[in-house]
Amino acid sequence: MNVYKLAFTAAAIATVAACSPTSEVTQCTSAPMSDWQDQAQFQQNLVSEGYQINEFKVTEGNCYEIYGTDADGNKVEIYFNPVNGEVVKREAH
Amino acid sequence: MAKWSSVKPTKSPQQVRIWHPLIRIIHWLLVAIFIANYFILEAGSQWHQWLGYTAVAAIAVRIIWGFVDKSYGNFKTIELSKQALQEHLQHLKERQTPIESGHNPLGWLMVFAVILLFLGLGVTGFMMEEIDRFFGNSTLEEIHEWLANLLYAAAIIHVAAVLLTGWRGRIELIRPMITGKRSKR
Repeated sequence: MNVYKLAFTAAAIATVAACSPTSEVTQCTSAPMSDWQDQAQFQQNLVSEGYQINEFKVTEGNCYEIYGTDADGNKVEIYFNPVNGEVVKREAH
Repeated sequence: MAKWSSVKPTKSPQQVRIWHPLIRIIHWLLVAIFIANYFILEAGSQWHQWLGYTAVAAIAVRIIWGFVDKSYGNFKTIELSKQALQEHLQHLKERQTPIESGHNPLGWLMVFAVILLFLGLGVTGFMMEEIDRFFGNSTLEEIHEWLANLLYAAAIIHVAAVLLTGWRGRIELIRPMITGKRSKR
């Protein structure tokens, strides 16, 4: 392998790395943040429905995400649409 | 080329065995799992978790195999001394890396780095999914993410080092990791 091949290969790898797809992300809404529900209020509503929230996050896919337990005590990770509060994805453990 | 060297015996002793199949399987399994978990699957998804635990299991097998392997995969062959490093650099300078050789000192360091990174990823991943107190813990998530980024950096350095060493040291490095064998010069 000569220098040019080496340089070419390195450049190819760098290009692939730079353009490589980022992993799948759950998307919840494209609405602007001003349309989103208040975070504290949103969590409070869930708690009053019987959820226990271990961790609350705003994800890069524009979701409100909780880690915790539902009213039946199931360990769950749920992605909500922050505008209408719909469950977008639910993972039970 | 001398006349006699062009006469090839039926079973070619022109090749030396470098890597045991188990080491090759583990190597490419880790490659596949890293690509799937870092680039394709959603972080924290069920598949991501199962593949992660598979990687940890593969690492565990590799560590055990480090005490069993009869070739260059055995931890007994670890060489990290300054002298070993200088020898390796000398080989590169002379463009003559010995055909019958396994990891150079820097290669061993990469092996350790990859083992530690996969184990760190496994532990932090397990903690934030399975230990209720840390379920979804942001700090653990951040550590997990950084370990993954470091592993990606290590992989890029590894590929670059393989290409560079193979070219500069005139030694086949990629084929032995696929077929297990390296041709003699």
